[in-house]
Amino acid sequence: MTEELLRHALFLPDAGTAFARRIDRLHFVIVSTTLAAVAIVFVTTFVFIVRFRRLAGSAVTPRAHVPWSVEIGLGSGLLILFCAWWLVGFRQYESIRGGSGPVAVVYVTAKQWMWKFSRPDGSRSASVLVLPRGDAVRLVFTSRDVVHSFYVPAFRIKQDAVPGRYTSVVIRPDRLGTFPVYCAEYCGLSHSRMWANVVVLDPVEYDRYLAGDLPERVALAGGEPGTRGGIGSDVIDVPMSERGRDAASRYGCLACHTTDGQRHVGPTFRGLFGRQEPLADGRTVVADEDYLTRSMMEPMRDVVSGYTPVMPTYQGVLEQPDAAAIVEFIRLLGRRTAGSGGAAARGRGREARAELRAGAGEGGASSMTKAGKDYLHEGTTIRSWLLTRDHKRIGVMFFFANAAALLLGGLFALLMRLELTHPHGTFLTSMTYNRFFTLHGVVMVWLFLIPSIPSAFGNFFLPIMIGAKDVAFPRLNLLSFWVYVLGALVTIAGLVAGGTDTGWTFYVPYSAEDSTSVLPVLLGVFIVGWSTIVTGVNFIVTTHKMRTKGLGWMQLPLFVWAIYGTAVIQVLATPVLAMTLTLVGVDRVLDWGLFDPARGGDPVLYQHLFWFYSHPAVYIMILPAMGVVSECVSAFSRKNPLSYRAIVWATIGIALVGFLTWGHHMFTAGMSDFDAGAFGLLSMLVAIFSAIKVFTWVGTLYRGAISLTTPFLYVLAFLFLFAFGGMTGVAVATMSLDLHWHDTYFVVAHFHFIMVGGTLTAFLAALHYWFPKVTGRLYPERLGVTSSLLVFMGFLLTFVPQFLLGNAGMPRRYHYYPPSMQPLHVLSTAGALVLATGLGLTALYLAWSLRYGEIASSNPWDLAGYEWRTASPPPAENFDRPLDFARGPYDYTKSASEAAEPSPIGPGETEAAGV
Amino acid sequence: MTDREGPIEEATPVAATSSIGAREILVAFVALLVLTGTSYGLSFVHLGAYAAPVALGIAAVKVLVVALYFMGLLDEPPSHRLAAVAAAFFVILLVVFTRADVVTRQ
Amino acid sequence: MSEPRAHAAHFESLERQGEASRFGMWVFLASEALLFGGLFALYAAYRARWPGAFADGVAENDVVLGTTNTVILIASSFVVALAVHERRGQRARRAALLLCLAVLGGATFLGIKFHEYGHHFELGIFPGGHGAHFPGAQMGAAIFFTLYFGMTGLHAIHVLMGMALLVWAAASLFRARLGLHSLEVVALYWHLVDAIWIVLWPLFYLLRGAA
Repeated sequence: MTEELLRHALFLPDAGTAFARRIDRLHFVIVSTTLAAVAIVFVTTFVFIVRFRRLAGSAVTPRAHVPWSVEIGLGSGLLILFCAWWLVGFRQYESIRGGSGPVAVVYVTAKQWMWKFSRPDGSRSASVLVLPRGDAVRLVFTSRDVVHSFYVPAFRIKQDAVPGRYTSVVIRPDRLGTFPVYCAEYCGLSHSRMWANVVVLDPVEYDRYLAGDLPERVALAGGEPGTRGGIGSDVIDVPMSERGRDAASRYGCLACHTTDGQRHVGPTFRGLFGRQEPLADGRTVVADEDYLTRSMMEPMRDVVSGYTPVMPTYQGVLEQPDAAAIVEFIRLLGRRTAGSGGAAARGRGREARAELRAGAGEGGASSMTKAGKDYLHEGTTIRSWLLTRDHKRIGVMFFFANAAALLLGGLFALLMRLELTHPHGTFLTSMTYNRFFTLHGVVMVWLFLIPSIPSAFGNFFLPIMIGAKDVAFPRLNLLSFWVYVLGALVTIAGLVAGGTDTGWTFYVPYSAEDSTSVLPVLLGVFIVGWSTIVTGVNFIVTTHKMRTKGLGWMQLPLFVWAIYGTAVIQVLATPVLAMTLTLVGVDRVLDWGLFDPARGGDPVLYQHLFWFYSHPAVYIMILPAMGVVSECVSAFSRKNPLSYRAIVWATIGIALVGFLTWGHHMFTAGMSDFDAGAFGLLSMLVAIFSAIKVFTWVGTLYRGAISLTTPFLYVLAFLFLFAFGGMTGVAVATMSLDLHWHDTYFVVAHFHFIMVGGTLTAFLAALHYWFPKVTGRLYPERLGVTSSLLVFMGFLLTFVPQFLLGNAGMPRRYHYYPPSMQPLHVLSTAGALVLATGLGLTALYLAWSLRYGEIASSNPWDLAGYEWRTASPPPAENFDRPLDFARGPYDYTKSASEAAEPSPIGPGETEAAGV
Repeated sequence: MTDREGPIEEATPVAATSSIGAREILVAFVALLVLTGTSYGLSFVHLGAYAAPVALGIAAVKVLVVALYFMGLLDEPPSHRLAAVAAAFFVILLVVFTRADVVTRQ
Repeated sequence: MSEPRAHAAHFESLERQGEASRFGMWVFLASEALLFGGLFALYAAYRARWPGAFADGVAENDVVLGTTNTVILIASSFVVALAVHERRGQRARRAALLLCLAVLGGATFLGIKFHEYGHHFELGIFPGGHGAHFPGAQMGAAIFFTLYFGMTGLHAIHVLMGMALLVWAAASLFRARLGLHSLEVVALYWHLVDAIWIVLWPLFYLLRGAA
């Protein structure tokens, strides 16, 4: 009873197996723990903010100390809890791998875009799988083309069907009914309509079914895919004409027949239906259903006059329902007014391209913002910017390039959200939708999130924070920027002109066979990767070799540590991505087929290589964000970090252990149980380091002097969202739960909590925190606070519904979805609009402040950090006076006047300087 | 990888010393040739399951010799050695976990 | 890339700048190692999946040519190490001559390598499992030879780039325009090329048994 209530509250579908109910119980435990943990963080932070709010402008705070035992105790306590979850999850995960006793077998063959089921006795069915209640059945999966994933939300299972391999799960349905099956692994144009039904019958009925008698329930569920109706909770009902459009593009009709009235190889579809057509042999014919169907099957019989008879026959290729759907599509094309349908889609493509150009232009133009003094004043010609070797100017140029990428990626996110307000879509075709999410993903990951904080703020502040005049290799730094620009342009050109639709993950074999142009995007990302590597090398060498005399490792600001850890990951992980994408590219050009099952290849190995890069890449995104948070928490509570050491070691830990967890992206991919278990366990480790950081940040507020400025509000948002996002990360890393959540909106929401809730809020915090230092101007605080609240609220409204959608079984990368999920989608879209408003407002007032903002002093926040000890904006050589690095960057134990005196007390915990 | 700021001219003599002299380089070279010969010879001996570990073990020793003597890692500060160790560690990590998947599949 | 008379403005000293350059190269080489790492991982996984086809594939390669190439690369690496030693002793001309010798070694290596490729093409062995050799071969043979061409090909590209750097360094040395630190960085790159071949050699020439 309680369980049923919880299921409803969490939008989980009814459980159709005992396994699903066991998983749900673990689900309830983990979700409550997550909520409790987040509540603790939230309440503690709130109490500290009220209790320790800042009363005097330049308050003095006591030094904080926390013994090692507290950190270690916390870490090991959490580790034990997480390992317990892992153990339960692993045992559940293993339990569906079967192995106990002989069970009935059903072979499941996936192909674009349908499911076929066959039994050892030779009986077959398509799109309907009939199972007896109470008996265990082993489903053995394979695929005829690309990777698919068999997902039954009611059973909480998901298993990839991999070409050239056999994977299996054992299920034992114990509830009568009809349960929808989705494909959860993106597989191309009609991915969102690759569905089937599982019908569970009682044993008597089941025997009748096996004997050839079709019970009513099966008949209702059956027939061809796409027309099922009347059963199950989710009726997916797509208009015939929509199916026809998909079929027409899938079977290549649209390669020769246009939909906008233009004559091509064959007659246009527009207005064709019902028209009198003169034939080559002098007869005329009315293009009705009969004629259209006939010309698909026997194209040479009635060739329209004036066209070359080149059309191949589709007899035996095109199935009857698809043929009917194409006719319906043509019929409707005749009735619509010009400007709708395909022509409109192309028109929108042009608009999108125009907007792209506008976005890129804006970024380029506004990088010439303001010529103030100092490093901004060092030269004011365009050339002095574009060919600068000053790390500060390069950082500023990176910022504007990244902001342009954010604008572009955000725009497409918004368009997708608008499209998803209706279960059948509103204004995009499936093809366009698939291209949009690919563009959104590629642009956001490689052009915004990965370079954002390190390349912009890291470039600007890393040398200043270590007392260096520049990075170790200034010319390479400039090269890195231009390589980034080149790569970004190639990527965007490829995405827009080629219309790549593989998703940002480029999974083979789909990316190797896909008919859209993938190569330019692979090349673009490859080029951007080299920019990342060069920047990483530069930052590592700079941190090691350029520190000012006497500045030891344990005296470095935490932001430097974060950027350093990030650089290590950039250097070690990115080349693997470069290699992997090269292999896909070479496969497309030279047909090397290194992952091609027909030649002995294994698509799962591609996934290993891809995630060896892409999981650490998550830490490339979040580590710098953590660095910003460490700085801001100390700055706005005027307090030294609760434990400097803990943050440093956690940073190193994340950078290293982040490499050991890539396999948790592949629990359903057909990886061995051994690897899955090992990766599952290792994934729990990395969460500990993040938890220690959150604990340290919250603890830093204790007995601080807190002021609620815009950057600090963003940091609070980060703490809350990251705690929730991180805990849901532990949840999806719990192996059995991942079977339900993998490739659903739950995962989408989880990683957006980390990337948007984490990285983007930290990016905004950094932007406001360092705005006075970089530009020499202040921004309007009131507007800052308002927009930060808008961003936070908008974010929650966008992504909390997506968690629930994931629970309900909504697979990601779906253009069409079951109508019952519409309300949550609409909420999410509303949230996205609020979020966009907040970001737009921020862009406006910051742009305004560049010219009209109040002039900032060298230390407007009255802080101890090294970067605040030089002018705002800093001079070209970074320092206008010899700096005293003896007072630590987090030392608020003395008043400003005392601090002016050189002090023998070191920062943080002074330790011997390493190398 | 260097960044040039000044004019292109020969550097003023710097007191550059190294503990790796011509003799050490020669000894390393001979050692590499001996290891190559050993590995070549062993490839004709039937070692069964040990063939791969032995051949790769010898290769690892050779790479170590190249790194320490030819590349001068023996003289370098710990941070430079760390870069080399990190590279080796992460390559091995990638190889081991990827291979483990295939080996442990049922 | 040449060494400045004085150190760059943002460095404390020339010594420090040289160390930074070497360290930068080491970090970059770590990145290069991971570039090959992906291919090593594929080799290891596919060899576990198709042991027979891989053993047969190795047997198809000419172990004498492969070993000759190993010795050539090790020798050229040795010569480059000596060149650095000579340059350290201010004997730039001798260093330049040694680099020329190393370039010659690299060219010989590539000559032998391309001869091997030519022989494979004659036998109908092309990357991607194309060619007359494959219809009769075991499943997995295509993968082996694709990896063979891919890994040795990527290595050959690195040999070419290394040779270009060596030629540039030798030319600069002849004109007495190359500092020790720049030469050290070039040499490091060439040694990496050698080190990678040392690992490729057993994988593609020695391990003929299906263990």
